[in-house]
Amino acid sequence: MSLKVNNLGFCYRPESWVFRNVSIEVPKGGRIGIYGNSGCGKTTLAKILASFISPKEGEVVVDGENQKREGFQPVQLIFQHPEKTMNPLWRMKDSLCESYVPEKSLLDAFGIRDEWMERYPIELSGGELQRFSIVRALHPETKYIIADEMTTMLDAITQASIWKGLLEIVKERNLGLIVISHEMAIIDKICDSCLNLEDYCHA
Amino acid sequence: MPLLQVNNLSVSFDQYGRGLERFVTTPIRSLSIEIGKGEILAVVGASGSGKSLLAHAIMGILPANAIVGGEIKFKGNLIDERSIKKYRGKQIAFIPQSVNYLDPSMKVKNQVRIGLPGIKSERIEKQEHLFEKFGLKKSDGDLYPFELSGGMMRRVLFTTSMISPDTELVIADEPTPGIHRSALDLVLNQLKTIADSGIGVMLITHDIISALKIADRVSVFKDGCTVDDIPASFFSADGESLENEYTRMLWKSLPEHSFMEAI
Ligand SMILES: Nc1ncnc2c1ncn2[C@@H]1O[C@H](COP(=O)(O)OP(=O)(O)OP(=O)(O)O)[C@@H](O)[C@H]1O
Ligand SMILES: Nc1ncnc2c1ncn2[C@@H]1O[C@H](COP(=O)(O)OP(=O)(O)OP(=O)(O)O)[C@@H](O)[C@H]1O
Ligand SMILES: [Mg+2]
Ligand SMILES: [Mg+2]
Repeated sequence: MSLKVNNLGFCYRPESWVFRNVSIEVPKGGRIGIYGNSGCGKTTLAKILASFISPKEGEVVVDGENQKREGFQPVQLIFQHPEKTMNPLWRMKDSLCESYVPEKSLLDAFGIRDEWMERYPIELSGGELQRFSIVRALHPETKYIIADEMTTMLDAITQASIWKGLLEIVKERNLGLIVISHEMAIIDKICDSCLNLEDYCHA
Repeated sequence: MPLLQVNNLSVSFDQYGRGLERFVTTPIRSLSIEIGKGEILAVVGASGSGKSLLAHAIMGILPANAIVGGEIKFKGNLIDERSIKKYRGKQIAFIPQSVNYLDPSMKVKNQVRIGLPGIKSERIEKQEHLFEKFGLKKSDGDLYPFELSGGMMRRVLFTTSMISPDTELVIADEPTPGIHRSALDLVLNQLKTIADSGIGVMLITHDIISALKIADRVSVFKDGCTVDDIPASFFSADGESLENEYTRMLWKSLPEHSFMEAI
């Protein structure tokens, strides 16, 4: 069981490759860190893995099966900018429960307060919003989590406690984890291995 | 006289829940800060502690249901939502935290040019110069915000609010998250250069280690209150000079320090 990509390549404009020949395998329960300069394609790679966009070359194989486009995605992405992933016209409660209704214990693990539920995204701080996107990604059928600069918006204490909370769930459910971060200290402390995406860049 | 003085600021919101019952929340209870000419004040603290709201209160861009208490003084003059208008974008420059402040329908080079002084050709030249300075390619200017990476977006936001010749105070709300070391150093150096020219800088950030490279003092916020205000030099290896318990915890839980073990 693993999340595997073979010879992945992507370009937004013909022949202008962001990266090529990327092959990675994240075993169930494994943790890989990805780093590299701003603009080298980390978020693009994450979007392909989570099936938001299709690769131009290569394939993504999830637990032995080719990635499917429809239905629930077992690979869930937590974005760098939570404010861009929330519908501004929905109350937080509705955004949160769009695909499943999380248990109270999960909300508590990430310090989500009741009083935030009735608010709109603009009425929460960046860090508060990010907790909602984390819980949203932790659907019971999720198998792999990609955390793209997940805690860059948070203070150090909240960051440490959110990672602690997430890692507990990751261990408990034996999820695979990809950590995208520019902070090597985070990757060092969380991951088993890491790769520099710049090595596959064609810029 | 300090350039900017915030005394006992409070911010409440008049809110409506389901069923239209009204209630008031008070996320900022008592914030006080001071910034002098040429000084860099780093504002750090808990996420949700009111750092952005403080910036918005100073800039006079809080939502209509906000109720503001306390006082904000710029060069000794009280400022409020009306009087801030004459300073905004001129004496006081603001770099917002949310990338949603970029106009999604406009090429980024044009957004940067709008805010720059001078005739068209000067503005084009200045914009290209700024892009180069922050490690953005000339061709990146032709992209729309959704086509930028996270770190590129940050740097564009930074250039859109670049200072004019009259700027005396810069408020930068999280200008650096998610950018790599070399780009980060460019932004920090720029802020340092700005301060060295006599401009006051308020740097709101979670990246304490980077902030300490350029900051003179650090103000620590928690639950809408200023809980600590200390010289940057107090932050040393194991944090033994940090008397405030929250500040020490913040320092210790950095990934470079004890991280999850501090919790
Ligand atoms: N929708 C898009 N259309 C066109 N180009 C895009 C689009 N999204 C990203 N790009 C370009 O692809 C490249 C890679 O972007 P990506 O967001 O994957 O980088 P990243 O490694 O995540 O950077 P960062 O660390 O700054 O978040 C960049 O040059 C960017 O301008
Ligand atoms: N319009 C609003 N109505 C009600 N509450 C609000 C509103 N805007 C912000 N808040 C609340 O005020 C508090 C402070 O928010 P603020 O955005 O200033 O936090 P912050 O310190 O900048 O946090 P972060 O580091 O996560 O960006 C938060 O708890 C937030 O939920
Ligand atoms: Mg990215
Ligand atoms: Mg903020």
